[in-house]
Amino acid sequence: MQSNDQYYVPEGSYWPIVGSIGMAFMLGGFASSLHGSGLGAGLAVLGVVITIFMVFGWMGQVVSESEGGYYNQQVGKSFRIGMAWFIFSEVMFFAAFFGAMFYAREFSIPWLAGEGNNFWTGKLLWPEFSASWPLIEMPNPEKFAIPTALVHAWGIPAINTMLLLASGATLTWAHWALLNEKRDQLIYGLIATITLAVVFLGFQAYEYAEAYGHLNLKLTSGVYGSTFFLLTGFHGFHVTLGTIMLICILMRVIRGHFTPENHFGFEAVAWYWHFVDVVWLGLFIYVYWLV
Amino acid sequence: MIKIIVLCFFFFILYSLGSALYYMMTDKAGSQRMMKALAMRIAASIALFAFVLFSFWMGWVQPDGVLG
Repeated sequence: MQSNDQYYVPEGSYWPIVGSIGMAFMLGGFASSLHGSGLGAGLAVLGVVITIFMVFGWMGQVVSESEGGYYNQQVGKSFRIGMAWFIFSEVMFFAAFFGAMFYAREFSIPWLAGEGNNFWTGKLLWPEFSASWPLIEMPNPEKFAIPTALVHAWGIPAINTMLLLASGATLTWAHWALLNEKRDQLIYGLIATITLAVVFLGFQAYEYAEAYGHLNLKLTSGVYGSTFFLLTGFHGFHVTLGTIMLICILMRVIRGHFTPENHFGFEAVAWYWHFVDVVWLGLFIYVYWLV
Repeated sequence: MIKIIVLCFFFFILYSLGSALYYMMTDKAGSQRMMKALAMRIAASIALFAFVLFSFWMGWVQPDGVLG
């Protein structure tokens, strides 16, 4: 047991270099596949496997240090500060993509159609162009994949919203159980949350297949297509990451980790999940409903 | 008007999420205040979702754009 005045400094670790190698394979493989290399996809998958190996290995090390009683209050404070910076970077990340969509929708497209003091911009560049959102009728349509329809809000997106909201509720139920020492309820709540998350991801994959296969809505469908896929795609990555973290938390809970007084790992993951849920709500309203 | 109501809901959701973050940072682990703020967050989100569906049912908002 570490005394309260000693700050635990771990031994040198090989996990960071393993993670770097994994990410290098992922990026290199993906870039090669974009250039038509046959090996690219395989290398990228290898990179994903190495990265997952690193995540579980590194997390496992931190968990055993935590359970071994190496962390004092000062270390706990460091974790909280680290979490605060991580959240700040996440907020800025999504703010940039929502901002890009907002700017295109509210400013740059109307300007191209001659609004504001840009009368001559519209007249000189594309005199026939009229602004609309989503931008389906481009000024030079031959350069883009033109969608035949949009992803309707009152379909999979609405179902997905219900799924994520339900997962937020089951997670809150689990959180309450943890504070009240109801281990069974905590496990059921986490299992329900993870199940809802996996179903959400399945629906999202189906929606993408529909968009690409039947609606011709693609990353190359102009500014609407690219911002739509960037926002929903990165949100999907976040749900995937959150689900992996929830699975780690569930495994720890089953092993008897966490007490009502000591469970920062659970709190951080729960908050992250609520954050991802709120981002989806923003997407549902601003991107799908176009409110 | 609908936009203003949706925005009010959203600001309240962000406020509860933000206060949960604040409690997580400042309270000791096991913060009841954090859990309550997150519960408030999810309740407000469900209410917002219900309001959007109700507005659609009433014909106040239409989903999707030009292609319907």
